[in-house]
Amino acid sequence: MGVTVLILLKPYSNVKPYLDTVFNQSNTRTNGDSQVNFFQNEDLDLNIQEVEIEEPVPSDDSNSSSTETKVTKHTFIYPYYGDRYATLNIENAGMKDLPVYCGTDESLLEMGVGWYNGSVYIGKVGNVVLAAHNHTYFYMLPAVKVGDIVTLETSYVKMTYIVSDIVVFHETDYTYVLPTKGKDRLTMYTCWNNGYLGMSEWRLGVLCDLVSREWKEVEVPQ
Amino acid sequence: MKITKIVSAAVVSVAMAATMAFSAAAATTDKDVVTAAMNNAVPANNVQQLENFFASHAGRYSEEDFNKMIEAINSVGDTLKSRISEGTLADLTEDQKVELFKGLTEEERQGILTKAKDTAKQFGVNLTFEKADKGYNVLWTLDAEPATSGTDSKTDTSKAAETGKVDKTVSNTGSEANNTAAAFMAAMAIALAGTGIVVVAKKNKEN
Repeated sequence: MGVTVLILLKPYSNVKPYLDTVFNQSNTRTNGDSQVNFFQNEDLDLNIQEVEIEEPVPSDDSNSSSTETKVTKHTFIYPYYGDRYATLNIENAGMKDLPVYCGTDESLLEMGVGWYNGSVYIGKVGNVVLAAHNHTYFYMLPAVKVGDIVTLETSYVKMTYIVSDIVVFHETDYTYVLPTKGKDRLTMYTCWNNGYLGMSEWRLGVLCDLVSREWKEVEVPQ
Repeated sequence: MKITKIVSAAVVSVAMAATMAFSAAAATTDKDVVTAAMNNAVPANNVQQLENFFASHAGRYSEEDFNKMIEAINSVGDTLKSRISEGTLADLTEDQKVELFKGLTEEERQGILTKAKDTAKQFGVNLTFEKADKGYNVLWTLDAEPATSGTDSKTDTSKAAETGKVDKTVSNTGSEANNTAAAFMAAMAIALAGTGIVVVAKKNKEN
């Protein structure tokens, strides 16, 4: 009944995403934690490596422009393309436990948020870029505000960020998805159609500064 | 005599130090490949993809492999150098890099793709290109590494084949897919940037 009323009030193209959700027409292939990676051979071993991270050290002097760094060693589990990679949370915007996949292929964006493989691996210093559809996993991204806390957690590190800026950019403007050498940032974006769903040449971007990096003890399977 | 010995020792020390320094400088690593990519107009995001690939496949390639990759990247760079009137490829901004590749003819692009494919194959990377509406679809697969102990391919010493793809720089996150040009880089050895390169998923377990 509700769907019928919706169709009468809005053009079909605006309603289609809701219809797909109601009548389960999506091509989602994963169920919760049970992920099947259609890109990889199921025999692949975990890609576990020791990695040196050179992190900037915050200066006590706010007027100082110098950047000290410290080098520490950590265990990474590099994801394969298509793997479930991380979990994203933005509580204030009602975005809870969103699955993040390695890659932004269309099939992966149907299942969750995509980590763009032209950005740094989560945990390394630089710009981590995430993308998702505006009618599914980043539907609530416009509700994110400056000052909101964002957590991005993998099996080897938990990153905590604070939202610092909200931007709108054209799809051909790569400014916000470019690498940021030596500076940590999280960039999340989705299509922006001035508040409406659907395809657009524009993107809504949420930029975040790093608050903390919490490394985890990685259990190496025997 | 004593002074001569001291001088001789000093000369030998300097010579040895110079040799060692030369040897250290001559060792080619993945970082040199990344630098070559940066210096040959590869867009920053594609350089990051190359860095990521090397990081997650550490130890897979030899110094000789890296030298071959640099040679291949420089070869592509030679094609591009004639397109700029001043400065070097390393001086180009990100926007200028995109414009540079936009100006390539279809024949030149095909030449680069062929070079990419042939070079990548040397390193066990299979690049698949498909002409699409506004460019090419690109997927790479990494050959399985054979077992080192002579046992079957499912022992712990072997590595199964891996598939990856080059993500588009800015994805289409609206409710319908759209053919949007984006820069891409071959997984190994050759970097190719420009419009019309579209990446589409291929599921290697469909058959």
